Parts: sequence; structure tokens; C-alpha cells
Amino acid sequence: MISILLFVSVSAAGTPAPTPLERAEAALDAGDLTHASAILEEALVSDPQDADALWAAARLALRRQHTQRGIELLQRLLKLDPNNDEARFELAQALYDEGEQAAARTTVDSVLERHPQYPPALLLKLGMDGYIEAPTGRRTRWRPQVRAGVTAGFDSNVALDPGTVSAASRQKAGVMGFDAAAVVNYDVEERPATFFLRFATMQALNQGPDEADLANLMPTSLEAGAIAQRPLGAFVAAGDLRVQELFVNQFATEVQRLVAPSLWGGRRFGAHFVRLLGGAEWRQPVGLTGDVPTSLTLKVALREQVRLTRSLLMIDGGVRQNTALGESAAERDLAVANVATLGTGFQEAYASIYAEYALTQSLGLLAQVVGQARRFDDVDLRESTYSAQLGARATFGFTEVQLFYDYARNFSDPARAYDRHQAGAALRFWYD
Amino acid sequence: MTLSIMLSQLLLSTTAVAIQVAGDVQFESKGTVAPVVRFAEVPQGATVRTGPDGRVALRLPSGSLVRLGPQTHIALTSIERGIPAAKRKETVRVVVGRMWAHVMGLLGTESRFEVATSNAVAGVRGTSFWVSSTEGGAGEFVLEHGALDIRQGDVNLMLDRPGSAASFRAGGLAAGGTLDAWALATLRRGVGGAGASMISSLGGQRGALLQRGLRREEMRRTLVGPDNTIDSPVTSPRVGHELRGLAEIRVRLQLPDQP
Repeated sequence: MISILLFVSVSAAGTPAPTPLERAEAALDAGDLTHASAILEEALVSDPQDADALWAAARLALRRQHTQRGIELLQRLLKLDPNNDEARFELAQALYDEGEQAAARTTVDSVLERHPQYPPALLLKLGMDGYIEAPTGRRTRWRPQVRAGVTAGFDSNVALDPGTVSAASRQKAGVMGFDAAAVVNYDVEERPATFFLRFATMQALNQGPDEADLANLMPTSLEAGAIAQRPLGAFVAAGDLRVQELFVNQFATEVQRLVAPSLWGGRRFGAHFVRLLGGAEWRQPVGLTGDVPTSLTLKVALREQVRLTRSLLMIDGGVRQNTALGESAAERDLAVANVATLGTGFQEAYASIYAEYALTQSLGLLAQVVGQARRFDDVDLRESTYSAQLGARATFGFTEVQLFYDYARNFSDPARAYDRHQAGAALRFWYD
Repeated sequence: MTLSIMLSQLLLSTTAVAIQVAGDVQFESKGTVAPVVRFAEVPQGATVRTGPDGRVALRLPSGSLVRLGPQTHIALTSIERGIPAAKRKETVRVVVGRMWAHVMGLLGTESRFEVATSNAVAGVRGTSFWVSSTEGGAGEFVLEHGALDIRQGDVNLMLDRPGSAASFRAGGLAAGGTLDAWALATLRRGVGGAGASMISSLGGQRGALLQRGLRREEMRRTLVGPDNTIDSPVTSPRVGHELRGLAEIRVRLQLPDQP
């Protein structure tokens, strides 16, 4: 893996070993609060009077809602650094959050005694006295979110994915999509969970030679899912379950039902995070794709990612095995007779490299290359698909604008081979 | 009553305390040079120098904090503390190098906190910012938050947007560009080290409100981020291969590294 080579080369160059605080900062940058906390606690064992480590550890404990630990650390810090009025205010807030009203009042009073106009302390004091709703340092555990997106673009070949939709002429189309999701997060650090409902639809802006063909290529989906995560020693494990109903021609024709459970576990190695995942996808065609059997896809994949200050590199490789379920020999013969619509009974290996670079905090560039190879044993068919995507994103608060171009080329039986250009712009926003 | 106040004012500390020291740091006071050790008191009038690997954080009696980066030389020109602590007169002269200051709010019109360089003086009333100065007298102010009033002779320049910068040299003071969050993070790390960087990124009550953009970024990259709703680990890497329709180039979710 390229990133491993980079890591080895950087290590070999004799870079000084990072200090505990630098390691904690790196973990924090990666969103790994538990690891950052463990490093800081370790640093405080070897140097109990490190004021920066104490304050960082206290703030981290409060962020993790380990309020009692945060209070202990702030009290230790204030013995060493008694004029740290910010930390003293944070102690008052934490005491108040823990219901220790008297101690909180004494502490906030001591801050106001030194700084009578310190706004956060004034607000807390007003809250304690019942004049306003008292501010809280606690984070709510349940956080609802709404997200939505609008996409418009060009697709040179909308008639793809023979496994999903039966034969159709290949068409150029202007397309427009809309998606919306309602999400509820259970935002507890060690065991976060997400539950969501998502609606997505894509519609052609123009008509093909046969109007019905285009309408029958445009997907509309409803999806429900749950994702939960928990630590297992040095590893992180997560489970993911999604159920999706797919329609075409808006809701006129149901195409398939998908149930996709998966499990994955990962571990951090310095700046690298490696994840092994296994999953299944049970796909039951309905309606339009009557000649495609129910199938089960099993997948095993390995992902590695490296995040640097401005960039993210992710390497992903895996294999998938698809098997038709409950299909008679006659039905299978019928299915394989039409190579163009063959969508089950394959083995696949793929690899992808994704890179993201942030030019500024709000402007970033994206690129991805993917290679896939599939083999259909029943018809001795081998095909490969290569694609490249380039994109840019700009964020404005809770809104993101994306521009993208995607090219894909499939080498296969002439009845299946294709190339495809897609370009467009998307506007996404979310609110929580 | 008057006498007791006068006595207490006389007894009020006019020393800074070195709450964090790394590498080679020395101070000079009344002709005596001594290394700065952790929790050592550095008196008013002292000069402080950091070596190539040196960093120090000085807590002033008012609660304000200054952090010196490597190869920096400052003078604690004035540390006058009143009652309450917010009432004071503090002046720090930056001779050369880079300094970050977090200034607690001032009380009363008499109070002041000033940072002086050879060619510009900044007055603040409650803010945090960086200042750098070279031996030639050129340098830069960068505002972290709050507001900064910079003076050079009769010329005044106000910085009031986070990241906004002003450069100065002999006979010149000019507004600079605006630094983004990464540039500020680099400055923070460069001057204060990883500890200062973490303290800042974890924020306090104010930080949580001010860093909404960073919070959004954090949200996107964690399990509970909204992008996660379209990132199934089972699907093929390209959505377009699974479902007909426009390919979605999306910022792929960073896998949760840890809970």
C-alpha cells in the first residue's frame, strides 16, 4: 500500500518521535477521543504537573461527558495555575452540570470577583439565580438532523446496471435528483448510533426516443438504516443494517428490495486506520425485473486510510461473491441466455483509491479511481470496469456545493460493454 | 478601609508565573540571568528569551496568558494589577520572535493591556492574537478572536475578524489577508505546542459556539455524520454501479477511528 510505504519512508527519515501531547493531538485530530484521553492520562502519570496536559485532559473529559473526571482535573489544574480564570469558570460550569449548586456558585463567584464582566460567568450566574435558562456544558445525547440535496447533471448513458433493470436502449440524458434524510444520532462517545430514513429520486430532464424507457431507468428509493459502534479493546467494531425499497418511474414500479447487514472492525496504527469489513446484501427483485432471481452478495473488504492535516487518502480493496437463490436450472438457463441482463452468479474483486485535499477550510478537491473485475461462471464471461472521478466541493456553513465529473469504461461482451460520462453539480445541506 | 485597600494593592503580585516550560528558556531581571523553570515567578521588568527548542507560557496575575514560541525575546514591561484583577495595566514588549496572547477582559477606562513592538503597538480589551517581530522591526499581528487596535504613530488599524492580519515595519502598517483555520492551527501549534493546540481545539464554552464550522467538519467525519447515511460498507465503491442514476461524487465518510 502506497500509504504504508509513505509511512515507512517518513519513519526511516529519522523524524523525532512525537511527544505524548503530540500523539494525543494527532488522535484528537482524527476524532479518536478515547485514544487521545488515554494518552493524556498516561502523560499525567509521568508528569502530574503538566498544566497544558491537565487542561487538555480536563476539557476532553468534559467533552466526553465524564464530568466528574473533568472536575477532578480542573481542580488539580487550578492548584497549579490558580489565576486561570477560564478553567475556573469551566469548573463552575461542570459543578453546576453535576448538580453541585453550592460549589458551583462559590466558584463562579470567585471568577466574577476577579472579572466582574466575564460574559460566560455572568450568564451562568444569571442562570443560577433563575433570571435566564441556565447554560449547560452538557451535550444532548439524542441529536436529530435533517439533510437534503439537489443534484443536476448530464449522463451519457443512463441505461446501465443490467442486474437491476432489464434491457433498455442506452440514452443520453440531463438528469436531476433530490434526496432527503431524517437522521437521529445517539451521540454517546463510546457507543454512538445512528438511525435514519432516506428518500432519493433521480429524474430525466429530457425524453428518449421511447419516453417510457427513460422513466423506467430513473430510480426512486426509500431506505431505512441503523448503525451502531462500540469499542472492543484496542479495536472498534460496528454493525450496520439497511433496508431499501427501489422503484422506477417514480413510485409506479417497484424494482427490488434490499436488506444489507454488515459488520466491521478497525484499528488505528499511528496515522493509519485499517478496517476489515464483512457484509451481505440480500436482493429480491420485484415487478420489473421478473426474470432476475433473488440473490445474495457476500463481501469482504479491507480499507486503509491516512489522514494528514489537509488531505485524506483511502485505499479500499475487496471481493464480492453473488449467488442466485432458489433458482431452478431452467430459470438459470433463461437468465444466462441474455448476457446483457445477467446480474447474478458472479465473483468480483475491486480496488479503489480515494484522495481528498483541502485547499482551504471551505474548498476541497476530490479524486477517485476504481478498478473492478467480475467473472460470471455460468457463461464464462469476464468483464472489467475502470472509472475515475474528479470533484470539488465548497462549504458554506451547513451547505455544500459539489462539482463532479465521472468517467467509467466497461470491457465485456459487446452486449454489455459500455462507457459513461457523467458531470454535474450538487447542492447539499444539513441541519441539526 | 482606605488603608487596607492600599495595603492589599501593595501586596498584589506583579509577577508572571511560568506555567509551562519546554526546552531552553531564560529570564533576566536586574542583571541576573536564570533559567525559567516551571512555576517560577518572572517579575515585572524582566526579559524572557526562548532558545531554538524553547517554549514558555506565562500566566499574568490578571489571568491573561502569553505563550512564547521558539527563539523569542520579550520584556514584561509593566504588570500592574488592581482590584479586581480585571483592573490592571499590562504591557509586554516583543523584541523578536513570536508570541500568542490571550487577554482577559479589562475593567474600567484606566485599564489596559498593550503589546508593543519596535514599530507598532496593539491595544486590546479582551481577545487572543499572535504577534511576531523580526530583528529588523518588521512583523505581523494575527487575530484569533475578539478585536485588536493597532497603532503606529498616528495610524490606527482595527482587526476584528478571526484570522485577520496586519503587517508592520518601520514607517508602515498595512492590513494583511485573512488566515484560514488551518493556518491559525499551524500558528497555534508553532507557538504553543501540541498542548496549546489541544486546549484550543477542545474549546471552552465559547469555543464550542465559535467553532461551528469545525464542529460541522467533525460531524461529517464521525459515525453520526449525515454522510454516513449514504456510505454503506456493502455496496460497490461506485454508487453508479449499483444503482442507475447520476454518480454521486461525495466526500466519503472517514471511517470512525475510535468511538
